Parts: sequence; C-alpha cells; structure tokens
Amino acid sequence: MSVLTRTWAILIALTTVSLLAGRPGDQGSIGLLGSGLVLMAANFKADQILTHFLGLQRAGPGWRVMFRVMLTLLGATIFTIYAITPMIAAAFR
Amino acid sequence: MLPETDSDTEAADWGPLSSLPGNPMMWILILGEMVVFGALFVGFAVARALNPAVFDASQTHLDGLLGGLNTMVLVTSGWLVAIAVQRKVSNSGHRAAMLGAMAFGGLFLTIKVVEYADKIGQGFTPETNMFFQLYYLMTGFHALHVVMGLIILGIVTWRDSLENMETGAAFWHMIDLIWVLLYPLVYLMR
Repeated sequence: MSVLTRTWAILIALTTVSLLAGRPGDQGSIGLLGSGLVLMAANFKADQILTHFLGLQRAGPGWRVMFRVMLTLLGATIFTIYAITPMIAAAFR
Repeated sequence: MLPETDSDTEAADWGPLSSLPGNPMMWILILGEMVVFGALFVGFAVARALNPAVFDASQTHLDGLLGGLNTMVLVTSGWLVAIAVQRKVSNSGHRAAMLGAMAFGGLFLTIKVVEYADKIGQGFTPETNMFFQLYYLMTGFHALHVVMGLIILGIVTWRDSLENMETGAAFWHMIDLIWVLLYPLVYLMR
C-alpha cells in the first residue's frame, strides 16, 4: 500500500472514529472527553493532509513545525473555550 | 527585450517559501485562508460559550452523518489529487485521477446543496439564530472555496505542468484541511 493510500485509509478511519465519538443524532452532550477526542482526531487528520497530501515532509522541518504549532494552538484554544463554557455562560447570564 | 538582471533573479527568490511545493503565491494565500478560518472557528466557539443552549439545540437539526459522508468524499478527492501529482512526477497518466478528484468535489457540493435545501425547507435560515448564521457563513464560505478549487483543478488539468498541478493541489488540500477542522466543530462537538 502506498503512503498516499495509507494516509487516505487513516483519514477515513479517523472520520469514522469522530462519527462514533460525536454520536450525531443524539440529543445529549458528548462531554469534554468526547470533544477532546473529536478535536484530536481532526488535528491528526489535518497533520496527515499537510504531511503526506500537501507534501510538507519534502519542504523541510521548519514548515511542518510551524503548521503543527498553528494547529495545536487552534485546537487547544477551542478545547479550552469548550471546557470553560459553563463559566462563561454563567458570567454573561 | 531587456536581458535578465540580477534583480530579476533576486525577485524570483521566495526565501523559505521556495521549498514548498507549487507556486509560493499560493502558499501566501493558503496561510491567509488558514488564519481567516482559524479566527472563524475561535469565533464560533466563543459565540457558543455565550449561548450554549441555543447552539446545542440548533446543532441537533444538522445531519452529522451527512457531514461525515461529505468529509469522506472530500478526503477521497484530496487523495486522488495527490495521486495525480505523484503520477505527473513519474510521467504516467494523471488526467483520470484529476477528473476523479473533480467528480468527488462536485459530489461534495451536491451533498451540500441537498443539506442546505433540507435546512431551508425546515425553516432554518441565517436569520434563525446565531448558530445558523455562523453555520451558513462558515460552510458557505468553505463551499465557495470548493467552487474556486474546482475551477483551479480544471485549469491545471488543462495546463498540466508539474508546478501548475502542485499549485492547484496545494489549494485543494487546503480546502480539505479546513473542512476536517470545520466538520467536528459545527456538526459534532456539543
């Protein structure tokens, strides 16, 4: 199996994991653990696309580090906002 | 015609951007788009934090399975574009993979239109509430990029130098990358 096809299979598998963790159609919250899992899967998928589809592995380590830092910061920011949502909602009620 | 000068050669040097595949101008666009969408994602999370009940109740009206299917469709399209570039490098037939990628891109847009028609049919429009305003803004802005991406893929399939194909592929993968981040945020996290 080529690297590109293996990457595609990983992306499909991670989308399935997101669907299972996100439980679309259910009414209740997926919780912080579920949100964290879904975010981590999305972040890993984005990293796979950058590295193997976009070809950043050939562009030198600096670019990969920069994009990884950007993705990690974005994911961490969103997760933090979701984690403190009850506090923010209470403060603005 | 003037001879090429040293300053022309220097102007063509893009510094660190030169090591990236495709045209460096496309990478400037990609970095800009990632910042814009990143700001939209954080804005969405903040808006939800201010009114989680409305956001969570509204999200139940979205079809998360259809969104997941669309993720798989776009990922498959990105895979075919990457295959096409790889085949171009090895001088084997690449057009079929590019046309397949465009077909999957078209399928993504078709599913999006079906989804919009369903939501509008149920009475959910951008005026409904902040959730639907952001839903239409973010997914609509992304869909507009898919349309632009399909046009670019069409052009680079016609004018298929390696640099053109890598440039078009870079834009398409950026669209793919944005969607894999947008999908869980809008459709799944609650």
